Amino acid sequence: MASIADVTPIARPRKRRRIELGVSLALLWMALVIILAVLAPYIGIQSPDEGDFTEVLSLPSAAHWLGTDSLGRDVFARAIYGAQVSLTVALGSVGIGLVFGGTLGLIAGYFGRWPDRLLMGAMTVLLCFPGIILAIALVSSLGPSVGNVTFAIGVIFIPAFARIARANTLSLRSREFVLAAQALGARLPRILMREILPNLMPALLSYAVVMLGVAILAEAALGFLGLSVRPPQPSWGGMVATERGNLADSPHAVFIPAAVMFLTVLAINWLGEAVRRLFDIKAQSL
Amino acid sequence: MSFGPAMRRIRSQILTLIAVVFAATALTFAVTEILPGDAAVAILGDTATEADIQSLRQELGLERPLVVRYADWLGNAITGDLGRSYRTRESIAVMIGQRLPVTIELIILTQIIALGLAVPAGIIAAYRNRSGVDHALGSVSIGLLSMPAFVIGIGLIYTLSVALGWFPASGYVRPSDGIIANLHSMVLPALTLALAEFPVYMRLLRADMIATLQQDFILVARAKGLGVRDILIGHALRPSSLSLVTVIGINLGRLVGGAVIIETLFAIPGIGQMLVNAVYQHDHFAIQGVVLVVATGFVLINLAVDMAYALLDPRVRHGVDS
Repeated sequence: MASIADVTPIARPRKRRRIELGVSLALLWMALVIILAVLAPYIGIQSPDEGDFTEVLSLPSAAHWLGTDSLGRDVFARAIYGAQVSLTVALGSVGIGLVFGGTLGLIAGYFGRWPDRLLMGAMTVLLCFPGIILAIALVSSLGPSVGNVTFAIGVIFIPAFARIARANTLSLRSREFVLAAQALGARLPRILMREILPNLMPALLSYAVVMLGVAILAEAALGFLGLSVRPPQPSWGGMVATERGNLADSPHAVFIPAAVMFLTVLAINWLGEAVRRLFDIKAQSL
Repeated sequence: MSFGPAMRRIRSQILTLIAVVFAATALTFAVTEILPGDAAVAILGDTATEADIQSLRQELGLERPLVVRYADWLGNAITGDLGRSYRTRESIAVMIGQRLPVTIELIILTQIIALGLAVPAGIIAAYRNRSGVDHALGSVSIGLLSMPAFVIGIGLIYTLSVALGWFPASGYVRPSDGIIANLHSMVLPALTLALAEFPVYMRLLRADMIATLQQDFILVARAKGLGVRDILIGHALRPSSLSLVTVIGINLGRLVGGAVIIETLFAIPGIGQMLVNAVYQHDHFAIQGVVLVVATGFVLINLAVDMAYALLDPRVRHGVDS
């Protein structure tokens, strides 16, 4: 990527600085959320489950940085423990989509013919099935837990990753370096794993970053329907859903967890755009 | 003018899509099968005796193998009989008949609002590429993309309903009780879904429009002295809208998914709400019926999209390779 920067040194230096400011703010926010979520049990944060009934729906204060909810529980603590759920589900489900979708797409694209038709037919069926409906059905049958929510969202991500992997494999499989490897008698696993897969990674990974945000939104939607983690364990979607009834009197109890979720997904989308710009030369030269 | 290649494509599409409907319903049948606590237990409650549960299972035909029950259901479905709700003993076809128009109304209003906002915004963003307007619209879209639809909805409820009192916070008014009141009750739900779709449409149209505006025929139009409005709307919009039309079709699934959440948030009695209730109540036939309707709708919309291609792009109509 350095070469592109070298070729166009006059590419709006002012604009580049602004993008980097946005990217560093996004990285800062993500670092904050991740560190707090990982260290939550060790840094003396208040209990996310124990309510103080003398302080119900209080505004942010020194004692409760983000206020309290309708059961007097500390919103800051709940937001951090909710971040554990959101981040675990996001990483896990995107991992499932990336590994299984990427593998299926690679196989379909490389072999073509019936494996392609069979796999992509199956992917089309999965794709046309409204994702959230499949996730609702899966979670309600398996039971609400972080693992099951991760699995359900991961399954609905598989087709999109498979399509991207397949499309890129199709354009790679007849390239010179692949033909050369075949001519040299390279074995199939080597061609797939060492020649084609590394070239799929930019497209798959930049899509994966964006899907992290989508996964957080999907987990929130399930939480809103009461199908994410079991109460009292906090999740961002669940926090918004439970305080919805108090919207008129205590909007902060609804909008503070919503804002935490918004900023996190915004940061991820921002980073996703940056990664996409980094890899996508065509859009850059546009 | 030959419709040959287009017809061939549409025929093969019909075949694929019949397979899609078939596979989607079979998949749901299998997934609902693993729902915990079978339907008989769900209907009778925890206090039922083992004998009661057994006799109800017999009555509902739950003893038979899965494949037999699916074949049975499919056979009936083809004749329009979608079975009865385990819960209310109501006909599923009748339930869907009552609720589907509500969801269709929601989706149509959503598309009208979303396109009404996204098409002008996409054109302006493309024409004023990299200007302040473009960046502002870009920021708005990335912001909207970073919120779940229910948060957009709650934000709208808070501002337009709680604070300003312009619209009801939830509830649905049937068109038979007044078309104005009906539309009034649908503004917030439709606007919520539309704002969630807006960034997708806007960004797509903007990208295609930027590419179109760099083509020679636009230069020719400009050289002929045509006005900006004529060039953008008369010349550039149609060739730039192919991806948009595709995505509008594909988006149906996404919109039905969004409708599930939004109908729950705003207490709108559409098929999305019916589906959520059916899942909570283990009402297998109701789930099956909704999935069948959604999958069939998806099939038909995609066929329509394929035909719309022919109208938008003469190369498709004449079977010329682009």
